[in-house]
Amino acid sequence: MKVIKILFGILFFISIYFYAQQKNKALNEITFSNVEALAGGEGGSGTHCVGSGNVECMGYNVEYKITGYSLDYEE
Amino acid sequence: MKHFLYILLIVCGLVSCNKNKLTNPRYTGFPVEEALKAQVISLDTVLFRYPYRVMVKDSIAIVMDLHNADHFYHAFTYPKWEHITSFGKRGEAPEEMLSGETFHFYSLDSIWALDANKMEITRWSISPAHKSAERVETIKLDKALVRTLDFSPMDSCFLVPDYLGKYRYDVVSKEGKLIKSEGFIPTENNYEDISLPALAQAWRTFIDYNPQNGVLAMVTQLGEVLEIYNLKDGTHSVFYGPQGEPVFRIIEGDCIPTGIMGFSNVKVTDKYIYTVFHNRSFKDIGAAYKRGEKPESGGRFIYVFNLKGEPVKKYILDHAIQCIDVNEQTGTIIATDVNHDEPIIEFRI
Repeated sequence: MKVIKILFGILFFISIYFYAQQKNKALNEITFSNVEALAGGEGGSGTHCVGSGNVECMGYNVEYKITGYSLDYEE
Repeated sequence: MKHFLYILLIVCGLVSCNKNKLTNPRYTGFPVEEALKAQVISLDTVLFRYPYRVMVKDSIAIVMDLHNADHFYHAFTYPKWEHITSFGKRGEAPEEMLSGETFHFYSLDSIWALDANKMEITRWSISPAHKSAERVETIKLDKALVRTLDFSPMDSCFLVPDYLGKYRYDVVSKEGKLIKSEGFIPTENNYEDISLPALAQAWRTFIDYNPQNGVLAMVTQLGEVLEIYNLKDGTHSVFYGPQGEPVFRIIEGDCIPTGIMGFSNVKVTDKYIYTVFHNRSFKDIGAAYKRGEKPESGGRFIYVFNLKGEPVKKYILDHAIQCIDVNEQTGTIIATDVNHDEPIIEFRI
């Protein structure tokens, strides 16, 4: 019986840990995109907004988005 | 031993709580294909930088310019296309607009415009006789929505695509308050390593709702996915085209499209769903910029589906367009083309 209690305890803490991680991640990304929208131009992630179009990029509508590191795209 | 069996059962139960892999129906082509030639409308004024949306109601046409320096909206007589008035001034003053994202035009005193950056929906009224427009009411959208990039007005509320990713669309009261959220992102992939808001960004959709048949159609800007929520019978259908779901990378929480530019507009009529489809890869768009060229913007296809989502017809256009206004009675499609100085064109169907 003691072993079961311990295992349940461990499972409980693992669940709490993963739940908290997921929640933090979601919050960080929302906060991040809001900061980007306010800042405009180039984001902290190295994202560049190119041209005039209808792709959402940091609160602007642009032709396309690229990371600051490469113009290459995956297939 | 018995205890370990119980534990094993609990663990298996928890594991089986994970979502089953979703497989959506596919369409591969259209039974009928037809080439359409545009008739270019000659305007007496040069007003546009990026005419993105157009809607016609009786004798008035309204065009929304996504990148105009002065006003986002321009009203014309129809079919003569004489300029009546421009409204929705760009600016940071309380009565000005930070962005013009999209709009809906039902009557002269029922023009609903979305300002995504200000998180506001404004109702405008225009007077062709006085050549003027005025703001009638402004609705501040609930901060819980975070961001709203499209909307569809209903009698007592608005439908907006969900931006947080947990649901697919939200129902918002006419006072701007979030009432409830419905649906889910119908991805077939298991994105355990990215957050739902990032996934929602990649699955950005354009929506249209027809109260006559209760059909809410949604199309993805990236990839080729059509979703149909029938709000009358409560059914939900998802259809993948040959290009499948949005392809993207997440860089520090930001969605970078890496697949194709898909749909840019959807219209639900009493019988059909009309969509504008681009089918342009971001690789090609990026390569054009790299060569110092300006890539053509817009789609050269109008895909028509029936209300069940079955492919009906594919129109192949001689111009790349962003948006359509469909009149099945007169067999006319008015479209916007941002690549030419004469940006309003008409197709006969």
